[in-house]
Amino acid sequence: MSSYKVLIADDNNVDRKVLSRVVRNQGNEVIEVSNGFEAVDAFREHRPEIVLMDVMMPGLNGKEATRQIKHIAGEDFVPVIFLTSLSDAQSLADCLESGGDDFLTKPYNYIVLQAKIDSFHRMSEMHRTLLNQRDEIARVNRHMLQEQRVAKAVYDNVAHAGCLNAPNIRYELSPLAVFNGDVLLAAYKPGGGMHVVLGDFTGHGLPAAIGAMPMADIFYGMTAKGFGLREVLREINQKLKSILPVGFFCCAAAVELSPDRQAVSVWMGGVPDCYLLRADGECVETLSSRHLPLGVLSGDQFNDKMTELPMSKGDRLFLWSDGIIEARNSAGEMFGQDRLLDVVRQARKPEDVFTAIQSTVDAFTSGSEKDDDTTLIEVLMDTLSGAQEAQKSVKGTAGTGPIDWSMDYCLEASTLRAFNPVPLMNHIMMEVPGLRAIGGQLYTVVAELFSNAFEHGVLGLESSLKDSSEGFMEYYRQREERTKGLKDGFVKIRMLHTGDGHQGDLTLIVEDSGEGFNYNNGEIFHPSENRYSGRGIPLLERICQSLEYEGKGNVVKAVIHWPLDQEARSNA
Amino acid sequence: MLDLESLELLREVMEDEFGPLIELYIADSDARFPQMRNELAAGNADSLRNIVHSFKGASSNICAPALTKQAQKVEHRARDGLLVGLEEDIASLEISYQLVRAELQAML
Repeated sequence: MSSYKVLIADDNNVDRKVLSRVVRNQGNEVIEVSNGFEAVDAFREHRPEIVLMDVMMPGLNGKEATRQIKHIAGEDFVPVIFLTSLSDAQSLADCLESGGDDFLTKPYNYIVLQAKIDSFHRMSEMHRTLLNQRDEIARVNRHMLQEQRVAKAVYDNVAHAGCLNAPNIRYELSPLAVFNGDVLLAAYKPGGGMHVVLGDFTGHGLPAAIGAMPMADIFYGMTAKGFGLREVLREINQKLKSILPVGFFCCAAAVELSPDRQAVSVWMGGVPDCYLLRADGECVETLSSRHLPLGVLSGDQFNDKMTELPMSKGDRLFLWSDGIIEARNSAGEMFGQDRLLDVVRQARKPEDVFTAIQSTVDAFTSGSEKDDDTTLIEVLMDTLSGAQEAQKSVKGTAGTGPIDWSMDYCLEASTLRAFNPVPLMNHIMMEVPGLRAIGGQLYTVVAELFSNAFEHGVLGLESSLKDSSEGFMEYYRQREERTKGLKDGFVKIRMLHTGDGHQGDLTLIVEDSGEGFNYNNGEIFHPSENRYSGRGIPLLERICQSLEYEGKGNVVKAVIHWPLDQEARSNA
Repeated sequence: MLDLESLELLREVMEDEFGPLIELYIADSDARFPQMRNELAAGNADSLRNIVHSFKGASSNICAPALTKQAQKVEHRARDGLLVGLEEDIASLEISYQLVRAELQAML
């Protein structure tokens, strides 16, 4: 039997003495008072755990004393049991109405008395536990919000907005979207073009946010180093697979925008259908997920195959997470893919679509509790004029670094099947401070020379295929197929640099194992007669001081002098 | 007049406080009869009722069932405001009390 501190208030001396003795005999400590005023004072002084209170007392009666005691107790639960000789139902009900927790009728049944004291003590303990837990929850919640603020600050540093503010992008993203699991990333590629990723992590709160940091880190880091989107996605998938628990993953739509090729490559895993709207506003093309989300498959099972589409200036690509599809109105209906498609189709002008989607979703969800996790991005094909600004700001500082050097790098078939050497080449060139300032242009040259050597030389693909949009698709289909089946062949790259620290010459010689072709170095840039038809020609022409074929046409030699003259720099 | 069996139980419960309890009962009750008469004379039915109520409770605790029952009748008349002739009932109640009092003192 536990010992409790019990306050007994009764003006009837004999009654009180008997009750007091019984309660003490049951192992409790008793404080006796004989009226309401004394009861309130004694409560304040001794803080008893339970009060036995006579209802009828001269001066301050039991009910009023109880009211005051409950007020003093505040949040603490102090059970008050009324003592009464009244036994009619209404009088007993009145006891409880007036703030008592229970009653005990005279003459007392002492077994019931002890049971009540024990029962109320258990209730007090429960109440105390409840209060403690409530305080603990409040404390934990404060702590969590604080942590989220810190996490958000760290996240914002890692996943800075990139080039989301580029003129060709419009987007909507809640400021705390990272805790909804939504992520938008965009970055200019060093060789021109842009990578955009929309990610939607499973879950909410910190678990959803935690994967966003390595994702953003890899995305910005690898894009800046010149890696292609496939490699970036592969790396992100690998990282998420290794750090996220089973059942956690990231639905994503990833876009590689190539204005120079007037093309877009799209990878979609687990996101809703997205739309490509042509500049004339006539045709809406639907793009669907073809892959499992990032972080599900292991590296050897991961499929980085991208869908290549021609995309002309003024064409728009719309991407979203399922938040917009699942937005509910006040009746609980979801917005749905059909309504979304209607909005895209019915907008009068392509440039109105983005705001039309926003206002339609807002109107649809008005009056319902808004989840505020609408994530939406419009990517417009344009010349990406912002890229030059972005890259000028990371100009290298003149100084030491390698001056006279050369390097030979030979890639055999097994390597060519799965490895893109351009980022590595770029990395080596970037060690020369003077070349760092023209990193974007250099990247383009290396990428162009390598892909020509690989695609036309080693794989034997016909560049004329790319003249039509059907042929364009066919070209990439063949590229995929031939790369997979590649058994023999090589690409040799020789890089040679000479200079004095203020200016220099970089020579790039790329040789492939292919047949070569009949070239005429005087007309190397003539569109109809050589492999450089279409893409990249004007660019190469402007940047390279000289560009010529050697041997049977399977060797190309480019010389770049730095610093570039003003015209080459500004047009590149 | 006393329920001796219950009284023995009370003695066991109260232990060394039994004597003082009986003395307290006698002291309180002795004082209550003059108070009852005063309130009756003043026509204060409520005050009279409270005093008889307390006396009834104490008598019940002290194991005097007949006295308790008799006190309850007086209490009910006071509650109902039937004060006419109540003086005789109080006198009769006091006689019963004096018998109980004598028995209790004999036990001490």
